[in-house]
Amino acid sequence: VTELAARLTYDHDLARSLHQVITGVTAIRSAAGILTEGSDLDRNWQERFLRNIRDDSESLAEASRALARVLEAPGAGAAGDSSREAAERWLDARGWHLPEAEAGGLPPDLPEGPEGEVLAVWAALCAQDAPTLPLGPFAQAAREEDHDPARLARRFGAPLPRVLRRLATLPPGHPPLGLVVADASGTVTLLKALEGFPHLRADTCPLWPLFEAWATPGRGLRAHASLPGEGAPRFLCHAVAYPAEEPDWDAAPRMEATMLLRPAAPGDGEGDRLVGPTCRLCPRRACPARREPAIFG
Amino acid sequence: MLIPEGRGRTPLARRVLLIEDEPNIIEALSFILTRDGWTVHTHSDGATATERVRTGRPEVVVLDAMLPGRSGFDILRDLRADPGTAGIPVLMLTARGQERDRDMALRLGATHFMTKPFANAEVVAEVRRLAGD
Repeated sequence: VTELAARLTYDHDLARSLHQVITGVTAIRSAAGILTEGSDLDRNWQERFLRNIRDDSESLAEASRALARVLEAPGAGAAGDSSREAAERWLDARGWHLPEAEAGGLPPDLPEGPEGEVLAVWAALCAQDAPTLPLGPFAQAAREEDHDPARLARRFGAPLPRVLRRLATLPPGHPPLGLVVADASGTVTLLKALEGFPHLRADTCPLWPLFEAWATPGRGLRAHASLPGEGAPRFLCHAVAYPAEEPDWDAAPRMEATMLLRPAAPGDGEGDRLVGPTCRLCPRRACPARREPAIFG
Repeated sequence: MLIPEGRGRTPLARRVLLIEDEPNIIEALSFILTRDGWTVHTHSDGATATERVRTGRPEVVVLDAMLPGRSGFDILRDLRADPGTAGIPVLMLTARGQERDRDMALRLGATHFMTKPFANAEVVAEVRRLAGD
């Protein structure tokens, strides 16, 4: 909490989000007090304060999401970060499928600037992936193999990372599949988000299979990951770490890890990786991987 | 819409000025204070709030710390510097319970300091107390 107090003085975004949350709670608490304390409240007033509570809870929901975003992306705010996020938003808007890449080309409307450069690299990678995993047969096989990356990799004789990327960028008509790519520093370089999936950008939970895969490069890892809390999202994850470039006798290969996620039904938790949002927001008190205390509770 | 008349107060309604910019907080506070027998005037612009206190001469001012135009702390400083308004009790509301905010409010001459989210009854009781009830 001391750390949080110190941040308040300089972190404008955090202060603003927190102010919005407190404002919403204040208005709701006061209106709820009025509705519950007096039995002789005029019907018009009742409706008015109920409406206010509804509106305030909407803005409170938005404000708390904004607050969580600020808390999950602490400090830095590096320029590289925002261009990657802008690139992801651009891809989000088109469902991550790039028809031009199927034919080996780049989308003609790539934006200018750093965001466009990030997108060009990604689109080129997709264009490289396409020929060995042609869209029609691959989509058909994906359905037949229940979107299991290892079975698809064997069936097409293709490397696992390529299959993971290809699965995550299929056109509509397949289950929702998220994708996270990280470099050797653990920095998430690309994120295709899924509903309920925390915003993994900085200070990411190290228990995600994405990072566990670094222990056994080249070997695929399949594991379920559960977020904390009752009814919280659970995911089936397929991850692999691998050299991201061709061998060179004079240099160590640049390494990368990729993880594909799909929503999973609640399970008995046996063998699940107990992941969380960033430590500061994570309720798993006794987690052995905890880097710092949570700021709440 | 008419707010129910206050009960158990002097027939002559007393005036409180609420300086706050969030519409739904204004509405709730106006409601509970009016019901308690106050005539509630509201003002949302920090830049012109000091002038409003000067001309309105309320018995009590409820002042939010964070306002568009001018901060509640600056307004408080001005009110205390002007002999015409220096004696008006001010209940300061802030969204941050930090000691620094509290210290600053009290140093600048706030009569009382309250942290959001407040309880309705606390505000009503405090406004009454500040008015010398």
